[in-house]
Amino acid sequence: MDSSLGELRREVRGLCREWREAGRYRPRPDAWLRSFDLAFSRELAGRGWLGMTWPKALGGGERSNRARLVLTEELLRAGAPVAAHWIGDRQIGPSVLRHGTERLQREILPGIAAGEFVFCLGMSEPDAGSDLAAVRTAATRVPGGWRIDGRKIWTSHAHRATHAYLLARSERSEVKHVGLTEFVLDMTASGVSVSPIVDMAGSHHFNEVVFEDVFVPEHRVIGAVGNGWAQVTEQLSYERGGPERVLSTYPVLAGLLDAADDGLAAEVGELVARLATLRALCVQVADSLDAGEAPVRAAATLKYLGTAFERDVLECARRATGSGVIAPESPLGEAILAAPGFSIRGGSSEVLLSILAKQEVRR
Amino acid sequence: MSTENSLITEVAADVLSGVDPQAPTGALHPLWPTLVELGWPQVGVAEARGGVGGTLRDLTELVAATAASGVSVPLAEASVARWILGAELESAPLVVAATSTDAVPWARFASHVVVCLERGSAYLVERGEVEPGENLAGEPRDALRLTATTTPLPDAPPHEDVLARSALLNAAALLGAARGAYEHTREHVAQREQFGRPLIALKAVANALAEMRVHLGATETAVARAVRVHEQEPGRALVATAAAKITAARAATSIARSAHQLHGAMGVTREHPLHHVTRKLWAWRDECGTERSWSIELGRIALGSDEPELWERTTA
Repeated sequence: MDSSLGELRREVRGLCREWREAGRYRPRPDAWLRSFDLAFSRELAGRGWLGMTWPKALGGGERSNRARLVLTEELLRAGAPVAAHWIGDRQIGPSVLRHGTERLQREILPGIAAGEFVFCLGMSEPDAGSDLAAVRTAATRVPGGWRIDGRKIWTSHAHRATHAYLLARSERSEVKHVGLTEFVLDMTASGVSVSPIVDMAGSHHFNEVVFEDVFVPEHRVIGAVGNGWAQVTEQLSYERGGPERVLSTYPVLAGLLDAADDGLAAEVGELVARLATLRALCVQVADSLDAGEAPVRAAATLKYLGTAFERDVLECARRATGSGVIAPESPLGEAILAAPGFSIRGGSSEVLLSILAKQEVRR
Repeated sequence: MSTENSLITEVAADVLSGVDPQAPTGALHPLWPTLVELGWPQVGVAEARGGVGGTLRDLTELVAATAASGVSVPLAEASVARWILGAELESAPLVVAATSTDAVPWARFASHVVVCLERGSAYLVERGEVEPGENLAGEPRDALRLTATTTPLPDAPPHEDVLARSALLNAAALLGAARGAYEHTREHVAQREQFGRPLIALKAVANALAEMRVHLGATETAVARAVRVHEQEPGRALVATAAAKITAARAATSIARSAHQLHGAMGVTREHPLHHVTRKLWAWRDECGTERSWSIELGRIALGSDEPELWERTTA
């Protein structure tokens, strides 16, 4: 085990406290998706905390996934503004590391680790939500690379991103899981346009991104042409296993300790038990990754139970309110309005159950 | 499961495979003398205290494996008594531990009971007469009539430690019964055909099975965590046990419900083995402290703490 985990934990806590006390951020629920602050992400980068498990030659820190869990847990606990680097650090970097060519790795990974590159996820489309294999965005071969035409929606922070990950159809096929390819795009490329999609709370992080005749050079393909489905499902299974699937509402739970009376003791106790179990599951996932395994089942279990836990934290907090009026901009109000997304993004709960059921039948 | 414990799991599988869980009326299950001979109740007890070696984790695996087989035996209760007594009364046929006197597990078959009440020091009592009772799984839960002479046990661990160890073994037993219920169900839905195909081909069935697996996985994790805390940070054992106990009890409710729903009418008969595990799930979830009392205990600890304590001492 990484002997310096305790020290890392203290350092992360110190940094978050410093920024919070200086008024540089306000702890928020769902901060990993909603609280975007490039300066904070660059502060983390300066300390070697972005891409921290990656090779040093590519800007990483060659530390364990267990160490990364310490970092991510403490950031989420503090409700810190981490949205700018979250996607690149969590999933696009690792995906490029697993499947990308050396050239692509050298081009992309140091930029993410430095907090210079901000990634958005071009996965979902108007007709491809939970059914991701239904994507229609087309990648057509042209000299020197590919031409992209199509539309992506629910793309968080596309309006601030420097790069996009893109899942596109490079081949028409009878079987929809065949013929998909993953790309890295520059958001500044000619033909990319972004328009906002405002959520029900009135906040803007979602966007629609339209690609019209966008040229992507050949070396920006991630992995093998046509192998996109296998790669993206693997990417998603890694994505699911992190503490952000448990801690989106942690600031609300922390507030409950002051707000709840003894009448809610049993409910709070149950939530605490679930939190302890879920944190242990996060450790299990990180340890599996460090052992070179792909913890598909543990990650799906974590997300399924984690998002249910996040939702129940809000129900308990609602019961603890005295006046019966919850302001939309209060932590609880923000969280309630954000909560429907928890069990949808990154694979809906129903999709997760299907994945788990398939694993059980196979064995 | 890690390889480190695969030996003990193999031993347990050898001993338990093919055993009919149904015990004859009015007697202990015929497997019990074998388990005593193998020293299972002394596993996880220090050798200096009359144990046979092995770790607490080994013990929880044996308790879980026994529960998964559907067999009812006083393994956990005898084991806790042995842990308290050390080498004392080594040759007694059966000594069980209890944290109350009104529903003592297996009392009618025991020669002695180690009683550890909440306020008061532990004592040993010869069983004497009992008022018979049973739990939902049909296991003896008898009331003691304390007429016999009691022997104080000044060296016994405090009530809190006895409760933590008993509840940990209870959570391990729930985990085992949950594994049993899950395996029965998985086999059933893969084999049983309705509407011209195996049940598992129905989306609703597949999802319900997956949800059982999710709760089983959470319980595995929670029990493993609690065992680790007992072994490495005994000062936090009670809190970690509470989390495991609550997680196991919640899973028990959900898994027993789905197991029966997915078995349909096939699962509700005496003849079908499912009830040997599901009745245990219903009975055990509120033993060694009810699910609710553990939740209140843990909730009060949390409400009396600040956030850093919640994070570092209660849930880490």
